[in-house]
Amino acid sequence: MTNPGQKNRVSPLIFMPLLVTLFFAALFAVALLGDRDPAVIKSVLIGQKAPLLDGQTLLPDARPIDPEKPTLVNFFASWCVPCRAEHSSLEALAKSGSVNLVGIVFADKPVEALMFLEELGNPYGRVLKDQDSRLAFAFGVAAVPETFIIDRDGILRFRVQGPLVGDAFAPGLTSEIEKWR
Amino acid sequence: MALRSLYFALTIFLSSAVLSDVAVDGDRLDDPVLEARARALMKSIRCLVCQNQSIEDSNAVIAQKIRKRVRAEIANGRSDDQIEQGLVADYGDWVMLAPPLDYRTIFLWGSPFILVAGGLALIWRRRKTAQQLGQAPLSKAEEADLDRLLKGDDPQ
Repeated sequence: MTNPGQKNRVSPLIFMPLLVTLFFAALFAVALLGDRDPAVIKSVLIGQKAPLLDGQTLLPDARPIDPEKPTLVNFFASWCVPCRAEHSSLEALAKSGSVNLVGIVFADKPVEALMFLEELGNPYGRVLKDQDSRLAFAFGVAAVPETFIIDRDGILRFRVQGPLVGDAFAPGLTSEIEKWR
Repeated sequence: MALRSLYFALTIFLSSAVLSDVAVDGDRLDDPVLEARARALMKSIRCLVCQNQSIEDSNAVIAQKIRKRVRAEIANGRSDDQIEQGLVADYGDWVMLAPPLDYRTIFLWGSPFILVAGGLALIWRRRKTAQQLGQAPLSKAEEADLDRLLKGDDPQ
């Protein structure tokens, strides 16, 4: 029953609930369907000059850095189980000779780290003790293992959080190494 | 009955000692004022592994390391701002639990106020419309309809 005296006023606000729903649906679709891992924190160092790899070495014999190759920095610890899992990948990298391989001990007693390397073998050209975690902080390391690629000009180019196994290693890391050779 | 309540209260009280915060590391600062400052600062720093906890209540290795760093920097005389900036330089904005307040985060911080203001505006508009509708006098046809309805006759 329509009253003749009253104009039919439908406010455009009637579309608000629909618009709000569509907005949130779109927002959730983008966030959920993308392959973004919310636990991964973006490295603020990528594209910047990498921290200098100085500090006390764990072992007396340290291979000099070859400036013609990119450098791979790998943070590890003796108590870190995934570090054991990725050890064979590191050995493969060492064998290939495509990178300077530098290991940095994270939150570990030097003697424990030594025993770890004695048990599994030492793939690194040089190993740094980093007992005051200065390098860990400089690289923005939150957990181990973490691996960084530094190009021949000393710019940090890539970071892998987690062990270098499966896709994360090949083609994940290996293709990145090729880019910066 | 009173004894049961007593036991209950005692259990809760004693277990609170176990549940006490993790930042009570072995290496507390000697100066209680500095230690209090350190603890306050730690509450605002995110544990990067268990990302919803502060480093004050996280057991993760990185939390321990950053607590050590905060204490060392406070003992060295750095200000809270300097310590924060140092951490943000190393890890990014996400290392602080509260997002920064700058031009990028205006919408983030302001959205609750915007939404409340929008809601209030909507309510105000509807009240005005309702008032206007209420104040409009009935037309002749509407008056006639009203009379018929009140008298109980079927208007159709």
